[in-house]
Amino acid sequence: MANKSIQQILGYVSLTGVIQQVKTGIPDNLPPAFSNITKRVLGDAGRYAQVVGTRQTSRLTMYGAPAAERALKNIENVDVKLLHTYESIKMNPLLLQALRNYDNYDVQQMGIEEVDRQQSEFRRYFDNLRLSAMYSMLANGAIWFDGNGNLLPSSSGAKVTVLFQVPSGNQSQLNVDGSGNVISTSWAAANTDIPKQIRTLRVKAAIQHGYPLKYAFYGVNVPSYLAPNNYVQNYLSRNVTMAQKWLDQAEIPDGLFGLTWVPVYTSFFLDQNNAGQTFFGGDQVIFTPDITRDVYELIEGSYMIPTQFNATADMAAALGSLKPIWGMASYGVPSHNPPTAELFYLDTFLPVWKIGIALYQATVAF
Amino acid sequence: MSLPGLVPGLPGIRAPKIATHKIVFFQGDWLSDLALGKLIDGNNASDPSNSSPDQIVLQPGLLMGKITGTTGDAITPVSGAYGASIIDNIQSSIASSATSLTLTVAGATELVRRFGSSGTFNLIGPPAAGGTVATNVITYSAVNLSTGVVTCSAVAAAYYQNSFVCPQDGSQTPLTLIPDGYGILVTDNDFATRLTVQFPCFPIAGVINPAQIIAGTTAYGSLDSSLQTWIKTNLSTATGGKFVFSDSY
Repeated sequence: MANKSIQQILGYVSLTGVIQQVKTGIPDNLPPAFSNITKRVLGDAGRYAQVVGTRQTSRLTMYGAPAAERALKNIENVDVKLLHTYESIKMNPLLLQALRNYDNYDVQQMGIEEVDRQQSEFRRYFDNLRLSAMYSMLANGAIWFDGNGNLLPSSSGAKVTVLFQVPSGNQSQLNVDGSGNVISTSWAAANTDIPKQIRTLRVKAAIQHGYPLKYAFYGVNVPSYLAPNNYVQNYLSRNVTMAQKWLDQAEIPDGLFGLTWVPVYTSFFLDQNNAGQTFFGGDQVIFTPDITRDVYELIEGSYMIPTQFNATADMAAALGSLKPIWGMASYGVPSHNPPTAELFYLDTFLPVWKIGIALYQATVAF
Repeated sequence: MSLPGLVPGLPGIRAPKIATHKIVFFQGDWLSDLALGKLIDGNNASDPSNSSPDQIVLQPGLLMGKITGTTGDAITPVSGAYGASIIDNIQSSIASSATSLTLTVAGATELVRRFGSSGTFNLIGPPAAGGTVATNVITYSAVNLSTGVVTCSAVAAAYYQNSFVCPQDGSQTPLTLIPDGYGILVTDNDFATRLTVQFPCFPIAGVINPAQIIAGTTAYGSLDSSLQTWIKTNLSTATGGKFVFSDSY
């Protein structure tokens, strides 16, 4: 017979609580408007009416001559199909009834601490997808998924591609109108006139769409290019407040050259293989207008979730037991053979950058 | 039939679908439409210059003629209604006795739809640049829908590039054109079943901007001058339309 030590039988170990080895969630680096400007649609689709403003001039007419006719402005439809995600987790109440607390040996009330933890972590997948979709939209002008529904960091292997109609001239060195690159010289060169390139981009934006630029979402290398730049140094040497901000934060100060600079280089997600995937290139700067409903909306679609699982008298009552929800939602379902509790979480949404030509995805070092 | 408002397919933002307003008339103060309007035979009217699948929308400027017979039409036309005058343009000049000519893929598709996979049509154009416009009946036996090549019996005369491929049912003579606006849809609301539709604003006079005329798939400005004159001569006659053209001044 094997003999055990008394420590193995009666030994006591102090419980010291929970260690969060890896913080949950992915960083939210975006202005709140990306999550706050929402619109509800029925189902998983919507349709925009798109119009183009008038920036031409009227024609000179001889005094007394008949009027020349002018064509009316076009009207366009843009259809949008939303993303939908729907997953579940199960918990076994036979196990939950006999779990201790994390930091003491009292029994949990039906595993309440563990249930809360699992539930909040489960919700985190959906929060992460929403944020990742926004990041991918900004960084890539696209969102990609493989055949198993996994978010992808690039188009390689993509089976589902959401494109935001960003023209190729609004990417790389920004040959916006075909007349040459706005980012004509690399920001890695200290004598590159960065302020002038930004002013040039403002002119192109005014002509291309008319929405003034406000934000510059930047990658990890960009401060290193600005700091030694001759023009930036000349500017900062004359602007103590701005220089002090730089020293205090080691980031590009808000308001430099009239732009709101937002560091986004910590934006990432873990792929299905648990590999970290960043969204923004180190040399990337994403220039956008102010985030208003004119250029962006987070569209939330509707879904029907059950409020009861009893038999009903007829079809009307059965349908009446389903309620519509918009965007993110959850519901639990018990079953009895064997006892199980299942939690369903879902989301129907799409971050919609409405004006592809008003998104500039620049690579500033080359 | 798909439900209205349904967006099929995978998640994403679709390319815009555009309703384009177009004006053909240079000025609005002298423009006359025939009282009571007329009809358009949807089976014998398409606009191959419009991007697929919207050939069923006849764009402003499309030349229209009156159907008075049935010769050559694969689908029995509506006599007295109006059909498209020009199907397409030959993409390159052909010599006398040629046994093939080339259309655009869209034009070849419309040729088969309107006249059949074999049959006859009118070829209207000059033998060379600036020559005299003539009409010959072409008998064809095959149409390659991938390349636009039409196999035919030996052509009686040479034809210069962009000469017109036209019907023989009477509508080959342009009398009017689709007026200003967003165009005229010639199908039911399934966007597939062709119908006889109303032609309510039927222009019979006005100042036309000829650059907006649709005469096949080739832009008006790229047509030989003899073909441009042929169009103007038919639109402005002693007994018919009274159109003037803004490029005359």
